[in-house]
Amino acid sequence: MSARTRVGGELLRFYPLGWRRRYGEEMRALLEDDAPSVRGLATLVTGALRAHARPGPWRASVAAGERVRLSLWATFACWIVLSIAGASFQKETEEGAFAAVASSHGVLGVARALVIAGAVLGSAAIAVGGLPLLWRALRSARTGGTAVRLALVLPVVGLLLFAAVTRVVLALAPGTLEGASLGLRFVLAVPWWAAGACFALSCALAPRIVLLRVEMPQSSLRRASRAGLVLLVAMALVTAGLATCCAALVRLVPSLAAQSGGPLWPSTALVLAAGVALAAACTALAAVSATRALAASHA
Amino acid sequence: LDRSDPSLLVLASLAGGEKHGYAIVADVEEMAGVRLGPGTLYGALARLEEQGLIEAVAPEGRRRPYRITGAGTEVLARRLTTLSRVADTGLARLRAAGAGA
Repeated sequence: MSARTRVGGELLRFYPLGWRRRYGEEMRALLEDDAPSVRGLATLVTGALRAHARPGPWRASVAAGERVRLSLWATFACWIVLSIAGASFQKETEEGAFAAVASSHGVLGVARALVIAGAVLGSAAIAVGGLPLLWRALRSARTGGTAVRLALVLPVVGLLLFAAVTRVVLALAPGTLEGASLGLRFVLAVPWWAAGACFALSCALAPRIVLLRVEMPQSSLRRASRAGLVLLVAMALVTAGLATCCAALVRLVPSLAAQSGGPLWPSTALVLAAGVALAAACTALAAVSATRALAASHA
Repeated sequence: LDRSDPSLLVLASLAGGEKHGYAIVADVEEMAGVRLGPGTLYGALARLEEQGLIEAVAPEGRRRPYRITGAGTEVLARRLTTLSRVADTGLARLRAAGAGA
C-alpha cells in the first residue's frame, strides 16, 4: 500500500459518519486500486467539507441519537479551538501597556469585557450541559471498556503535560521574556504552545470517544443540546469582542497594534486578526452543529 | 466536458454499462482525458444517486458498481443534445470567421 493510499485512507476520517458508512469501504477500495495524486488527495478534503455542509440521504444511516452526540461533540470541539484564539488574545493583552490603553479608550474596555463575558457564559453552558454527561461517563467507566477509561484520563494527562512544560519554561525564564533573544523565545515558546495544543486536542477528542461509547439519558442529551445554543451565543460574544478589539486597536492606538516581540514576531494586530478569523470560523461551524444537535434531539 | 462537471462525465461513463469507482475513473480518463479525484468522483456519485439519476447495484466484494437509471438516461441525452448544439454552432461560427478573415 502506497503512502498516498494510506494518507487518503486517513483523510476519509474527515467525512461524516453516515457518509463513511455508505461510501467509506468503496472509497477505500478505490484508493487501493488507484493510488491518488496530491490533487486527488485534495479532492478528499474538499469532498469531506462539502459532505459536512450539505448532508444527503446517506445521513439516514446515522440514528438521531448518534447525530445528537456527534453534533454536541462538534460544538464542544469548536469551543475548544475558539479557546485557543482566546488564549492568544489573553497573551497579547495581558501586559500593562494594554491595560493602560483599555482604561483610556472605552471601546477597548468594552471589547475586553465582551470576551470575558463570552468566556464566563461558555463555561457556564459547558457546566450545565456537559457535567451531567461527564458524571454519567465516570459512572460507566468500569463497564465502558478501555477506550472510555483512556478517554477520561486523556485530558488529565494533557493538563499535567501542559503544567509540567509551563513549569519548566518558567524555571528557565522567570518573569517576562522582554529583552530575551529571538532564539530563546522560540526555544521556550514552541514546546509551550505544542504542550498547549496537545492539551486542547485531548480535551477535544476525549468527549467524542465517550459520547459515542457511553449510553446517555435522552434528557441529558436534550439539556446539553440547549446548552449548546448558549455556548454558541458565548462564542459569538467572544468573536465580537475579539473583532472589536482588533479594529479599535488598529484605529485608536496604531503604535500598540504594530508592536511586536521581535523582527520575526507577528505584530499584536496580526495575532488578534488571526484570532478573529479562527474564532469566526469556529462560531460559524458551531452554529451549524448546535442547531443540528437541537433538531436531532427533538427528532 | 471538463472537471467542472463531473456529474455529466460519470453519467456518460455509466451510459456504457454499470461500473464501480475505479472503472469509472479509468473510463472517464479514456473518454475525456480527465482524471477524477476520489473525492470528486464520490461527491458526484452521491449527488446523482440522491437525484435518482443512478443507482447502486449489488456489491462485488468491497467494490459497489453503479448503473444509470431511466431518469439519468433522459437527463444525459438532454444535456448532451444541448452541448452538441452549442458545439456545432460554435464550430460553424469559427469556420465562418476563418473564411471571412
